Amino acid sequence: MEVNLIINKKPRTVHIRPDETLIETLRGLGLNGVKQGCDTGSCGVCTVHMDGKAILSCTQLTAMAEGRGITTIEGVQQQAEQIGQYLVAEGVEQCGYCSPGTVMSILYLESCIADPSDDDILHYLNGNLCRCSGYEGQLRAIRTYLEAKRNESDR
Amino acid sequence: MASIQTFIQANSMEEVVEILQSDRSAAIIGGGAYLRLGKKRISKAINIQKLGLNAIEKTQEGYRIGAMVTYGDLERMPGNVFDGFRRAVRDNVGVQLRNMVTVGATVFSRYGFSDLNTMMMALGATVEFAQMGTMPIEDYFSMERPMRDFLIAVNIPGDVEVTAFHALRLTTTDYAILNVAAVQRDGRWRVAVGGRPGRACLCMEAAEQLENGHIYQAATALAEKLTFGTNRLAREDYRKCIAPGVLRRALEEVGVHGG
Repeated sequence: MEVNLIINKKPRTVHIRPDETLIETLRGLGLNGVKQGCDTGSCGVCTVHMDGKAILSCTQLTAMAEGRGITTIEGVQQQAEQIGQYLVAEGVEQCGYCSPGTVMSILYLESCIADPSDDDILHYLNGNLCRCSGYEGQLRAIRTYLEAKRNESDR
Repeated sequence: MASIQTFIQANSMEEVVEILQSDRSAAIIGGGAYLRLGKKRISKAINIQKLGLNAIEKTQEGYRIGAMVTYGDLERMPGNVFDGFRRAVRDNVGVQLRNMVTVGATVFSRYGFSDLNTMMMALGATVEFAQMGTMPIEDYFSMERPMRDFLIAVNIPGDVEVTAFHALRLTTTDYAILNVAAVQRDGRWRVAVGGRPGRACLCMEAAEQLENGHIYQAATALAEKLTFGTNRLAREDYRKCIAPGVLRRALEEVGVHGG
C-alpha cells in the first residue's frame, strides 16, 4: 500500500506492507539515525517526532501515519549537535546508541515546557533507557544545555 | 509482531461495525502499541482516526473522552479530575508511548494490568459502544463474552474532591504488581483495585469504610473481600498482603489520613 508522509519537512510517498512499522520505513529510506533497540516500545532509542510529539517508531504503524509530519534526528542535526556537545562534556556518550532517541526526547521536552524542573526532565526522559551511563551525567548535561538556551534567549 | 493483511481507513462508525460483524479477524487499531507484543493475525486492520474520536469534550455531567484520545492527551488536560489520570499513567513506560496508547484500546481490551482502567473504574466511568450502548465500566468488565462491538467513548463525571492512586512496581516503568485508585465525589467514595492480576474491580466495603472515616478498616477490606492471583510478577498471597498498604499510600499521597 502507498502512504504519504512528510519526513524532515519533505513530502515522501512510500510503498509499505500494511503491518510495517515506522522504524522499518524510516531505516529503509536510509534514515539510520533512528535506532532499533528493544523493538517492543520499551527503551526509547527509536524516538522520533510525529506532528511535534515524541513517539516510538518501532511501535507506530506507518499506515497510521498517513499525512503526518515525521522528524528524525537527521532533521534536527544542528540542534542535535548542540545537545551532543553537552552530553559529551558530561561524559555521557559511551556506546552512543541511546543518544539519538535521548536527543529527540530532550527536544520534545524543550518544546513542551519553557523552564523545566529536574522532575520535568526526569518525567520526559523516563522513556529513554541507557545501559551505559547511569543517567546522572545526562541529567547534568540536560540542565546545563537548558540553562545555556535560557541565557541565549535572555540576551 | 502481529500480521495485517489489509489496512482500511474507516469513514463512518457504521462501516466499522459492519466490518467487525462480517469478519471475525478484523480489528480496530488504536495506538497499535500491543501489536509488537503478540502474534495475532489480523485480516483487516481498521483505522478510525478520521472519525473524530480524539477529543475530550466537556459535558453537563463531566467529560466525554473519545476512544482515540491518548494517555498523553489526558495528562495534558487541566483540572483535578485529570489529576487522577496523571497519577495513574505517569509511570507507564514514557511520554513517547503515552503519546500513542489510546483510552479506547485500553478500556476495550479490559487489560488487567492497566493503571488507567483502575482509575477509570474509581472515577465511575461509563463506556459508550456503537451497539451495546452505554454502561458502567464495571458492568462491561464483568461481562463473560461481550459481543464484537466498537467502543466510541468513555464518559467520566466532573468535579471530584479526591483522586488517589498508587501502584507497586518492581521498576518505575514496569507493569504494576497491584494498583489501587480511590475517588471521592459528593462525599461518597469509590475504591478500585487492578493488576490483581485480574481486571480492575470495585471494593464496596472499602468505600463504605472510607465514608465512615475508617481508613484502616477500608484498607483491610481490600485484602479480605477481593480475590487475587499469581503471575510472573507476584504471588497471590503477596498481592493480598500488600493491598492494604497500597491503598493507604494512595490516600496519604493526597493528604487523606486517619485511623
